[in-house]
Amino acid sequence: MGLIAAPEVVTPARYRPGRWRRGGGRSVRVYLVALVLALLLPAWAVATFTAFRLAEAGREAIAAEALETTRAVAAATEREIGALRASLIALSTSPALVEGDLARFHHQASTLAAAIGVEVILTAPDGRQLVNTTLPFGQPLPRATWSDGLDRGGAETSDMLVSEVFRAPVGGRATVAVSLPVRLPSSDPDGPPDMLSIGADAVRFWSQALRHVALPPGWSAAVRDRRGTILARQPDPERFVGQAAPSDALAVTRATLDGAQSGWSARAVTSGDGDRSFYVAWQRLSAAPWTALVCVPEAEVDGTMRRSLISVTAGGAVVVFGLSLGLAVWGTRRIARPLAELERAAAAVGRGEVPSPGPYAGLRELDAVAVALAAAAAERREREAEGAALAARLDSVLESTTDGVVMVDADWRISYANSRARQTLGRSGPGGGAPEATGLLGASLWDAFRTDPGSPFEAAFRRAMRDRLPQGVSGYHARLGLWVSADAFPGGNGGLTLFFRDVSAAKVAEAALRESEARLKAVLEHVPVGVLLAEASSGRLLLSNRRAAEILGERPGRWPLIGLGAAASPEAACGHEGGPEGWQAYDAQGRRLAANELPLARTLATGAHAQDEIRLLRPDGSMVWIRAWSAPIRDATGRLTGAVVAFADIGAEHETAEALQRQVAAEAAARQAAIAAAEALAASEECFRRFAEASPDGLWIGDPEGRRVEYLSPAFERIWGLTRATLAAEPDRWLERVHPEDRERAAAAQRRAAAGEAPATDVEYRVLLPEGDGEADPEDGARGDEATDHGPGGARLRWVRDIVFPIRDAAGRVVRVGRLVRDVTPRKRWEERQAMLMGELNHRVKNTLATVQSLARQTARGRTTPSDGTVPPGSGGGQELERFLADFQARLLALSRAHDLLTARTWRGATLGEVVTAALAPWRTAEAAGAPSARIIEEGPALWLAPRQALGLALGLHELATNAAKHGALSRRTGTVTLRWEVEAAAADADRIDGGQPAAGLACLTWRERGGPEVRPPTRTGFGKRLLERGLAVELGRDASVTLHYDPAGFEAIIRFRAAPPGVTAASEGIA
Amino acid sequence: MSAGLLGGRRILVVEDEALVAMLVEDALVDAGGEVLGPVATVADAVALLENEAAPDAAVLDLNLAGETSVPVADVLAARGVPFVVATGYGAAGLPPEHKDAPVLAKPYDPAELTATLARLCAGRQTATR
Repeated sequence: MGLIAAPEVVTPARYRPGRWRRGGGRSVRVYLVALVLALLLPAWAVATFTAFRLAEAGREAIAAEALETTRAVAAATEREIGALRASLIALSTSPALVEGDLARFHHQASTLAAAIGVEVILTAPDGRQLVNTTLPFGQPLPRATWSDGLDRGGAETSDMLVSEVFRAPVGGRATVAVSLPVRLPSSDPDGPPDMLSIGADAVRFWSQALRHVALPPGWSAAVRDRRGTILARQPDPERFVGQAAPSDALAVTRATLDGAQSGWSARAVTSGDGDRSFYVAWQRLSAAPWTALVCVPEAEVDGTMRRSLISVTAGGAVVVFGLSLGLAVWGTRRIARPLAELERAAAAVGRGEVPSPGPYAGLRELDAVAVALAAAAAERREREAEGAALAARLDSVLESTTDGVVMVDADWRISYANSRARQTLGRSGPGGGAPEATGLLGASLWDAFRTDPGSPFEAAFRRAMRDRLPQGVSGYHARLGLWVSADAFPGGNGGLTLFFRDVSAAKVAEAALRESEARLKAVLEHVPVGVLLAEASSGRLLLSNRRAAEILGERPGRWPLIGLGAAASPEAACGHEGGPEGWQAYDAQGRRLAANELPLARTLATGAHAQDEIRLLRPDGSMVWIRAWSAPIRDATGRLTGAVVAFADIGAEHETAEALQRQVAAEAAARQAAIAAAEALAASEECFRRFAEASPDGLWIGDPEGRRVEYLSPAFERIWGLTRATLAAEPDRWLERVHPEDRERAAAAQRRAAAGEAPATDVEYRVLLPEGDGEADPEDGARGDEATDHGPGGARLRWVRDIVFPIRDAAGRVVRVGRLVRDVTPRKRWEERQAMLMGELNHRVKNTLATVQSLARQTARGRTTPSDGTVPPGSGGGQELERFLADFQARLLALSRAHDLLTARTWRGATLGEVVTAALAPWRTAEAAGAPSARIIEEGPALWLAPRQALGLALGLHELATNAAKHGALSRRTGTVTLRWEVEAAAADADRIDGGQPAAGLACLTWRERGGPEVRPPTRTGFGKRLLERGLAVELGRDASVTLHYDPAGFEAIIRFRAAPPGVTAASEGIA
Repeated sequence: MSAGLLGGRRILVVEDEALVAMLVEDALVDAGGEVLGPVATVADAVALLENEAAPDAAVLDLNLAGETSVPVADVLAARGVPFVVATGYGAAGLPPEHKDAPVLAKPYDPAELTATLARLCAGRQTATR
């Protein structure tokens, strides 16, 4: 099945062109008929309306005629009434009646009655008939019967009364009477009058009156009385007279009451027997309460209209439908049929046929459509033929390509798959069998392609679908078990076209090639010869190995310069001239070789094998001997494609041999040396042992944790009173013998050494030996002074100085801890004794000073005692003596305080600050007590003084303060003494360089007084001045000087001296 | 001077150096005090304390010819007699129970001694009242 061979055809079944629905649409005939009807129906309606109006006019004409006839009837009847009245008046005035001659009157009346066909009756007021012309005079007369009617309903239009229809007592005929009151001479003039009446037969008299009225055929005329009884009628009076008028009479009565004189019934009235219908016109009479009626048959009135309407309507309809029908027939023939032909032609075009150009319809538009349709069909057939050919070609291409081609729509449904795709995708279906091609179509790509979720294929396809950009991807398709390379191109229908191919073979080949290359590379990298591979055409190097780099001694990028393979390459040849940077090749005879003389170049030039030994001068100036073999490489056709050269460093071979020899010799020497060293070591070890054993210091070598003892000297055993065996078994025992108060210090020293924190830790602690344990110390015994040698529990006590140090290996790790232990008990004892002696000495000195103080006082006391008489109290001499005593005592106490200070420091010295404090203490106490006094300000760094300097300065400062209190700033409350000292840096530096050890700088101490009385230089040299200027300078030592300034603003002393380095002992100063 | 500072106070002086004892004696007398002693040994001091009425205060040399005067200090403390320690050692030789006793380092200013004694007597007076 071809892709393009199945073009999409719009079949009629699928063709849904909106409103033009086959079967649902209307035929063109219908539209034609509708058009005609639209034109004709209004005309028809107008005609009908006109006809209706004409009929109405006819009706009105009939009504007018009927009314006219009614008036005629009324007039005729009134004429008769008038005649009868005249008769009555004539009779009433007849002499017979006036005279009361009833017989004559009867005769007279009978004559008249006979002449006009009526009867005359005279009636007494009591109802008794006096005369009746119907009977011979003298016969008994009936009682008047119509008088009731006269009484009741007679319309008295004048003096005459008119009765209603009644049956005549004689003969029983329907009669209507008119009466006139008369007065007979015999009657009571005041009573009711007699009544003269004429009774006229309804049929013979009254109806006869209507005879002269012209009635159209079918019409009838009648007169009715007040009660609605017909009293006259034409035609057929006999039949209707005395009967009730048609029911419409009621309406007439109402109209009469309303005052209408005439009218025309609006609707047809049905006669009493119900077999006829008619319209009624009526007219009231003026002479009697009667009504004239004319009945026109309904058929005559309505028939006119019906006839005209029927003729117009029916005729019009026939014309309209006839025309429509005709048009339809014409339309069918002239339009619908050609259209049907066109439809058939279009269907044919749809089927892909070319419609035969049928008989022309004669309609221009339709003919044009038919021609265009035929042309379009022809063109389309042509195009389809082209398309089919193209599709066939494309199909054959797609089917013959080795790529699988799949087209998917936007929903990933497969719309096409070529045979390769079907084959590939169907090959390893879930069931193992190839799915049908039709099964692949419409299937989801993901089902068919069976990508694993997250596979690169799926990602690439989705990307192509999303971005509408071509995507290429290749990878291993696990489900298919193939290496697949796929390309996705966005298609025009919103989908994708996928091309994929099995690249497994290529992958395998590639892998094989890589593997082969790797093998080759591995071989090349490990063969002990240098290998270079050059291309024949350019001489360019294609391949080299590590050994080549080693031998040639340069980075690969520069190798073409060496000329080994560069002769054929112009640029390499140029590079070869590179002077000192390049390689220079020489043959065995030392001749320099040109580039084209080298083996690789020769092989490339000749295609033959070549071999040579070359001495190569490398760019770094070193020389290498190489032996090179070159061989050509040819392709299948035997054409030279390249050359390979292998070369070995033969110089290295020689060197290797020599090196081996040297190594053997060195090894022999080393063995000799090792033996010597071992001997030396043994000797050294022995030496160490001898030293260790002979040393009075205990020696301990153990592991850092203190768990294992490697070496213990006998002295250690002796000091601790523990045997080596005991300590080797229980190394912690040494710590148990340490004084409990000192244990932590001893253990800490061990820990510090183990951690390697310091080169050595020097610690002193006490060791307790149980009574009688250990060896007796001869020294101990000799001294016999054991008072301080005993610790708690009667144990003997030993002071030990322990130097703990880490021993490191070559890597600097602490592998051992060494301890050098010395029994310092004698030294400690000496120190104690020394301290005690010094205390005693100090006490003696102090006592001596106190004695001197007492002596002075006692001496002075003797002089000032009044009994002595030499110096009377209160004299100037006494005062001077007091002053002397005070000054003497103050100087003595100052000396003593400085002494105390030094004693507290065991005569090692003191700081300048301490000396100042001690010397100025008496003046300070006043200040500290809060008493208003002069202020003393001290300022300066910590500065160490030797004992002699301290004593001298203490006395000097005392003198300065005393002088200030007597004459200077301290004599005033506002006075200030500022004591400032500093070390002059430059001098300190210079000194440090001289002495080579922490030396003292030149210190400068300034005593400055301010706020005192004006200063005048002293006239004589007192003790203070002498002490300061001469004594102090000497006491302060080398480079010391004291300068006194008698500035009027305030006295100032500047004392320069070299401060002692800290830690100078009393012994070194020679004071102890 | 400070005459009357110790008005009528009886002060025991324990001092083995005769000249120093004289110095102390002069100072106390000048200040209006009455001197008990001076005695130069522990035994004399204890005997004097046992036989005589208790002094108001005492001046005690810590070192009596190589003999420590701590026993005297103990007796004085037991009797409630305040004392000043005068010594060439500083405060170092005094046992802990007498740490509160004022110490004067020899040589000292006699004025300082009388001032200290006056303070002690005043303190004792307020304490006994």
